[in-house]
Parts: sequence; structure tokens; C-alpha cells
Amino acid sequence: MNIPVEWILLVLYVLFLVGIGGYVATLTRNTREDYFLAGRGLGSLAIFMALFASNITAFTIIGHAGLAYEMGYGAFGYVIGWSIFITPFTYYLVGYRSWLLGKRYGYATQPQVFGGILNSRAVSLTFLVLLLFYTLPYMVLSIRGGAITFYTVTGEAVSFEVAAAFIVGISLLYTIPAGLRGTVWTDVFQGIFFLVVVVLILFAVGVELGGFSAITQRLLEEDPVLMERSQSFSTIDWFSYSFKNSLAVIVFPQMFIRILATRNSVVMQKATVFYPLALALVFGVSTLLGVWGSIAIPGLGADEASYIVPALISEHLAPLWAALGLVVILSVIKSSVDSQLLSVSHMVTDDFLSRYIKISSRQAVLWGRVFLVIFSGIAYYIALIEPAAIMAVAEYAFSGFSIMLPVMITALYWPRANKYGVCAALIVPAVMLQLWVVGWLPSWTTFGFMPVVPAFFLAALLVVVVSLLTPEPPASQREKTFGLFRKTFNGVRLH
Amino acid sequence: MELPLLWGFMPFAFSYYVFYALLASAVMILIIKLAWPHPPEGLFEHPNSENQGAGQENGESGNGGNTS
Repeated sequence: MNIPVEWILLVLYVLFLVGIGGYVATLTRNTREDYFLAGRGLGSLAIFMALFASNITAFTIIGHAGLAYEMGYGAFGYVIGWSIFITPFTYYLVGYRSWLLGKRYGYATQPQVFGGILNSRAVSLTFLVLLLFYTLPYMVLSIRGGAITFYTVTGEAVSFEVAAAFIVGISLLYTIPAGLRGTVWTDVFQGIFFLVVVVLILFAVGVELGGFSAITQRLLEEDPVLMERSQSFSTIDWFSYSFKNSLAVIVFPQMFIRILATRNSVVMQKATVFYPLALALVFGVSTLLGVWGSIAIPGLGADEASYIVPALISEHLAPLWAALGLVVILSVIKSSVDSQLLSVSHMVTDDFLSRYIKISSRQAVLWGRVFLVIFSGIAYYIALIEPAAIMAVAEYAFSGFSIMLPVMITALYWPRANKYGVCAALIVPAVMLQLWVVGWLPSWTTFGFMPVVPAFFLAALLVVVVSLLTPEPPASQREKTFGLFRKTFNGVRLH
Repeated sequence: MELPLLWGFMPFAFSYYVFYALLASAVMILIIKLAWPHPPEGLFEHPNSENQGAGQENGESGNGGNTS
């Protein structure tokens, strides 16, 4: 029997994940701290890979390479330019202060951190509702994108339904037994595997096309426009897109929770230093492959161009490379889906169920596992039926996350911020964003920007104005948060 | 003015991001040196009664928000 190499690699990949899940499960205790936060003990490599791998999606090597195919090298700056600095900076700006509070008061999610700062159940609940509202549809979109990619790169040998079930199923294999530790360990493996394989693919494709300099020479002769900054988008579009992408990441619950799970400040500092380099490397490789693809396989339409990396691999490299490429794509899809599933289950268990039912730490872990199964089932079903309303929310989920950032920054830096200001700044811009997206507000009211930009500044304005117009928080409440920051930041323990 | 290709194949529209990424890392190092202190010793050693939920492992219920 002649079994194709991609199926052998796929089986090995699944067995490896099951093995990691099984092993890590033996290290995981049945406490909510250990299951949902890996005992707040994530080390340098783990937190770096966890943040990095969760932030790399199928878009990185499918959508982005397709964009570079059409747009040229300018695609890099358009998609990732701002994120290279702003995203790791937000890990410092928001992440570190949140981590201090989490470590001191036991907070484990955004609803807990910001509900705790403002001493308000309303704030906590608003955070929970909004985060679920944006995360669930976005998770469905990730599953759909992954399933479409899977069945496309396998030449439709696997149906969409089976591909989606496979992505959700293997995520559950290690997430249910091992919780956050399981997702992080698999992220470490997948992140390293991803970095190594994409760089190898870049060199292999480059050699097959005659060498890096020869490809560039062809580009200069055949399509020099691709060598320049693209003129296919306006400055205002570029600003809006970069604004939204770079600010959203720290608000993703899966990223925020992982920061809270960091062992110490040194570990977090190392992650922020290496993050820009890793992001530039991965998107750089994807950009190069996309641009080179426009020379190697010219004339593709937008949909076909999205799959330029698999096309380059299958046309120019041996089948083993195609199989490795498939596993890489699967691993990046899954590393986002598993962390999203776990963070949603975690928040519903800790921030919703625990409020209404008295549950022990061990029971919380059990409920977390039950919710993992429930939410993966719901996400799978929605991915299949693709209801228009939910998919529309997924399309602007990044914007929804971004407009929550002003509230997070204000709550962490301004003692005068109160629960009224925070609730107003969370709810009103979210409603406005919805109205802009569905077209109920005239487009001129965004001043030519994507709706995320005015909604963001509206949130910043509201949290300040409404807080100033309403009673200031009690001194004891402010001291609980800002006393902790004072002790840390007024100290002399700088390097 | 035509700018040279970095390493013989990367045009300026792309290659300046290599330096930009290095600069971003350097700025993060600067921030760490100047504005990112480690928590003082003992800051987390005496959790008060508000330390509930995710932060506890004693089997009690409730969440860390402890909000009113």
C-alpha cells in the first residue's frame, strides 16, 4: 500500500500532540490556578512562543502572502508595520500592570482585573459580554479559515466538514486534559517547527527559482512596481488598518490571560524584546514568498493568489515539502483556536458561573472542561451553517477589541477613572461601531477612517468626561490598585 | 536616487523594516532599562482577604474580581 507522505506526517503530528497533551496532563493539577493559568509559572520560551504562536494565524502564510502577491513588498508595512513595535509595547503598557494586579490579588481574566480595579460587578460583566461577543465569532472565523485552507491545500481530498471537525477535535485532545499548560507546550513545539520550516521553505523555493538575486532581477525587469511601496491603498486606509491590527492583540482574552500566567517580570521583558524580531521574520518570509510567487506563477486571481505559498511548494518542491507546509498551516490555525476555546471556557467558568454557583477549585476545572466541549461544538456548528449575522461580527472583531483598549489603559493609569466612565466607554463605542458597520450612521461621520478610529477616540473621551462628571472612586479602592503600582514604579529597582 | 538592494535582493521599501524591527527591539530594551522596574520583594507575599478565585488553590469558590 502506498500511503502519501502528507498523511503519514499528519498522523505523526496528531500523535505528537496527543503525546504532549498526555504528558502535560500528568503535570497539571486539578486546580483553577494550574489548569487555567499553568500555575502562573510560564517561563521565557513558553510565554514567548505562546504569545507568538497564538498571534500567528492562517492569514500569515495564506492571506498575507496573497496580498504580497498582488501588492508587492508594500504589503509588509500595510499589514504588520505598526504591530512590530506597538503590540509588544502594549504588553508593557497594559500587560505588566495587569500582571502585577493578577499576581497580588489573584485576578485571572480581564473581567476580574478591571472589575477589581473599579470594584464593580457591572464593569466585570460588561467586559465579559463584550469579550465573548467578539471572541466567539472570531473563533468561528478561525475554524472556517482553517478548514477552507485544509481542504484546499489537500486538493479537496478532505471535505470542509471533516477539516473543521479535525481542527476542533485535535485542539480538544490536549486542551481538555492539560488546560493552558497543554496549549502552551504545543505552542512551543509548533512555534519552533513553524519558524524552522518556513525559513527552510523560503530558501528551498529561492534556490529553485534561481537564487534570491536572480528573482529580484526578474522582478525589476518584469514587474518593478512590486518593488515599491504599493499605491493601491490610501494613507488613511493604511492608518486605519495598522491602528486596528496593532492595538487589538493585547485585548484578545487568550493573549491577556497568557500574560497573567507569566512567571515573573524578567520573562515578560524578554518576550517583548524578541517579539518584534520574530514577527518581522515570519511576515517577512511570507511577504517574500508572495512577491516571488508573482514572478514564478504570474496571473493568478485574488482567490488563487491567497494560496500562492502552497502553489509554490507543490510546483517547485518535492512532496515532502508540501506535507511539511500542510502541517505548518494546520499548526498555526490550531494554536489560535485552542487558546481562544480555552479563554472563552475560562471566562465563562470564572466570571459567570462562579458568580451564581458556589463551586470549588476542582469543580471549576471540571466546568471548564465541560465548557470547552460545549463551545467547541457550538463553534463547529456555526462554522458549518455560517449565519450572516455572526460572520459579520467576526469581520469587525478586531475593531471591537481595539476600542476596549482606551478603557484598559485609563483604568490602569488614572486613579480618577470610575465605573460609570468605564461602562459608558465600553458600551457606547461598541454600539456606535455596530451602527457604523451596518450603515445606520452616515459614512462621513468617520472622517474617511475605518469606524474603529473614531470609536477608539470616542471611548477615550467618554471614559474621561463621564468619570469627571460622576463621583470619584473611594480612596481605599484607588489605593488597592495604585498603591501597588506606587510601590513598584517608585522603587529603585531599575536595572 | 536608486537605493542599493540589501543583501543583493531586498529593495528599500522592504529592507528598512529589518532596521525598524531591530530599532523596535532596541526601544523595548530602553523601556525595560528606564521604565520597567521589577516588583519589590514582598509585594506578593501577604495576600489579603481579597485574594480569591483564580489566585487561590484552597478549593474555595468565587472569582478574583471580588467586585461589588
